[in-house]
Amino acid sequence: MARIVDDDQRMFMTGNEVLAWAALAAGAEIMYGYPITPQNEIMHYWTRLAPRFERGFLQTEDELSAGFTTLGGVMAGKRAFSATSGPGDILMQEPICMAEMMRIPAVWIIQQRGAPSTATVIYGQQETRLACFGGNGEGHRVVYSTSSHQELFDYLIKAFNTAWSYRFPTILLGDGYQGKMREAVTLYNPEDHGVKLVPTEPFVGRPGVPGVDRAPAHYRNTFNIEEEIYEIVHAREEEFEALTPQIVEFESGYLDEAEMILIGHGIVSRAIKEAVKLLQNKGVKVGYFRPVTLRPFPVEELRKAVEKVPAVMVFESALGQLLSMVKEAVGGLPVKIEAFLRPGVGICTDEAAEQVQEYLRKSSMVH
Amino acid sequence: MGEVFLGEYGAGKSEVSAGRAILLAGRGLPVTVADLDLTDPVFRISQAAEKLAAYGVKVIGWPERYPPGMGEAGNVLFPGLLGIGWLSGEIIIDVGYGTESHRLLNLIPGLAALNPLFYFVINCRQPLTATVPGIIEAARRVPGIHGFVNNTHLGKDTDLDLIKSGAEKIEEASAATGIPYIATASFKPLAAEMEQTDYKWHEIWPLYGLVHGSFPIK
Amino acid sequence: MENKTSGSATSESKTGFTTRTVVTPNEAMPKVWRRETKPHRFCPGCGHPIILKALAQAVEELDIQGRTVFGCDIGCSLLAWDFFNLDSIQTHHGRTTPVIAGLKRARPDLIGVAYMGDGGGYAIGSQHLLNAAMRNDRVTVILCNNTVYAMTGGQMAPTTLPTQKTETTPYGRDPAMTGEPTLGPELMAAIGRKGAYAARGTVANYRQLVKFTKKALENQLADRGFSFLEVLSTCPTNWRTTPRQTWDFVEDDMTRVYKVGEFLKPEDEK
Repeated sequence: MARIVDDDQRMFMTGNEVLAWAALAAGAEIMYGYPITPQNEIMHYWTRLAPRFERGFLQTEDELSAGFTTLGGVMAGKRAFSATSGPGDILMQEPICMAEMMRIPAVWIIQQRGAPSTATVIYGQQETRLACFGGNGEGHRVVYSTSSHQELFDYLIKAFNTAWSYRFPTILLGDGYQGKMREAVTLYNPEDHGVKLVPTEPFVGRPGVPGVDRAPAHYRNTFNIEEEIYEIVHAREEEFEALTPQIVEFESGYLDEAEMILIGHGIVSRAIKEAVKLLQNKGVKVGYFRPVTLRPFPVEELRKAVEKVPAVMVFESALGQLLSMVKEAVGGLPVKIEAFLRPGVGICTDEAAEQVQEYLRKSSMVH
Repeated sequence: MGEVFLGEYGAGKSEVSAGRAILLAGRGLPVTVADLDLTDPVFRISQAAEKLAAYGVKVIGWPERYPPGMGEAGNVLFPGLLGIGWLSGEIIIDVGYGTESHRLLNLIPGLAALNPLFYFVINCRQPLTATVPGIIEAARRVPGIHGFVNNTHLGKDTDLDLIKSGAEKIEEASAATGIPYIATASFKPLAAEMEQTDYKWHEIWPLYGLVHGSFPIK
Repeated sequence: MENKTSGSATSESKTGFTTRTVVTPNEAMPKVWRRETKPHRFCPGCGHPIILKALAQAVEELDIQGRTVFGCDIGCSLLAWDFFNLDSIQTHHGRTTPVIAGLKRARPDLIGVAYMGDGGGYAIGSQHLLNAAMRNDRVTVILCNNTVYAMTGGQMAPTTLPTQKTETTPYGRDPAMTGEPTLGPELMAAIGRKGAYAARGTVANYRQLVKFTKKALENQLADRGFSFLEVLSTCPTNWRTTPRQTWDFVEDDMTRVYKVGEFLKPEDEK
């Protein structure tokens, strides 16, 4: 695979461009896609760069097709991916379900937007639940929620490796803000940073005549009776749980002696980290916890972080999607759960800090 | 007179347009900015309209918070732009990115009357314009460029050495293409520092970060 | 933002640019057009309003304003969601045909019009279009062909002409890689059942466009079969063309690939 840059390059660019370059760096061989804002520029830059780096592209008739053609590309043994948003994300769930059940290592980029409108293309975190549990399955997929351009680059490379290492479909969950905003990022060749690209292999079309030189490849996602699926879903769950310690990622800070822990994912986690620093400077003892992987969710890590804390506050640009995951994770612990929920709307550092101070002021008045 | 700002996606066309408008308005000229960015509902110069008004600069484009295309995308042309060819004073046209985006100027009748100069904004910290051949290739995609504007930066990590490294590449691309290097743009504090150096920055255009903070977050 | 202005008003817009809005009852404006939502929200030079004007005129001449339901899609067609004095439904991308088909099954007395772009009809909603045609659903589909995905910023559409540059064909459309342009009315004529209607009009021939639109509605009124009308339209914003270049593109370049006329009439033997 050709090197994308001579050596590490510090650049200033939009998130969608970063993702196109990250896919090149990750050795992605083909993209399948359909126009939808706010991910269009991933396709625009991929189509501009693909001939130069000898990569492929197919614009399909819709996202269902983009999702399933991606599965075809992966089963042919290629590092294939797709990118979508909003209503397109909904259509992608059927191919993602097939990938979950058949362990097809496809990679999706999802740039969330305000929902459930057919427009509102700017920003949201309302596809959190869909990214994690969309479809009629049990959420056997890996979801990375990024918060900066550097993470878009790093985690897209990681997403391909995770997918091909563990054979679970892998999603990079961003949003329109991350796609469109500009910031500094270091582009690099993975091998220069000790990141080895996990080799791919074809599911079908291997050398030899099936039934003569080798056993034929027979793949299916069809089962006769529910008892059969019961066994398989349990087996999937066991495998997924066994892999969780290897895959799960989180970030936390200032947990010691915290009166409250702020929880958020994706770009919102940037605001809460800054809010925590702001409050710490004022002498307010607060900490933060950010799940980087939403699937698998860092349950043990979160429980450990909040076991001695009186309260947590969940921040998200949705109406309780992360909140329900947090509630489930910390179930049984004597921690009070507060939330600041803003569907489709961003959260700034100062308003996060204000919410926390307001809560602490009220709760100290009660005591 | 008209000045048209073109360049790669995220090269800083809107920010440079805003800085240029303020510079010209500061010389006592009547300045109007036309928002011909048809890419996004966000990061548009018309979102900085109120801030620019404080400098006496008018903006023609979709009013702030009025999402063109009902929020589906930014891609609906504001009808008022059709009249800019007949305006007097200095007209600055901020063109969005896209395949052959310079051809968007075809949408503006009477543009020729403005005798517009076409400026190509370059940030050498973008992958496609990070090298001299890259700059030359990007410039070749747009016929009729009258000048390069150096907007090399890394956001808050920018320093004079970084801008200078961009300036050197643009000098070289300028020599190879015959397209003059017109100006160097940078945020105001650095622009002030630039003036203290003996390096030839060409004209210095201060920037104010007006578009930078315009994301409709609340 | 709703434009509720009537009469004459001068307003200081937020841009600091003074605009004078004059909305006068115009005899040329069909009654079915909703004056309160004019001026419309399409780009200057867009073909959509011409198609919508022809539709309004046809609805008026057939006197079916009271029973017509207008459905529009995602893409620029959505800008027509409050365009008419007609009950209207803006649906999801590609899904206008099944919404209107479902409505028609439930209320056969209504006249259902599904309005969409080439992406909505020939790409994401193509299976609905094919199956509505094969079921001979008594609905009227009007599809605006402007060769691009306009609202998302000018990507390749199924109707993009060979060598045409778009955001996802930055080096020009290569039919070897992406196929030839979709020929919708020809396809509908091939699969259409007896009683169906399939035609292609153009915004460059308004009288003919009204005639085709009326026939597409009359066919539904007569309960004969599925009606499909593609209309060649203009998109100077994404074509990045001057007015003259725009007309040249629709009248020369497009009609070289897309023949204007009727491809299937209800009375044809099938």
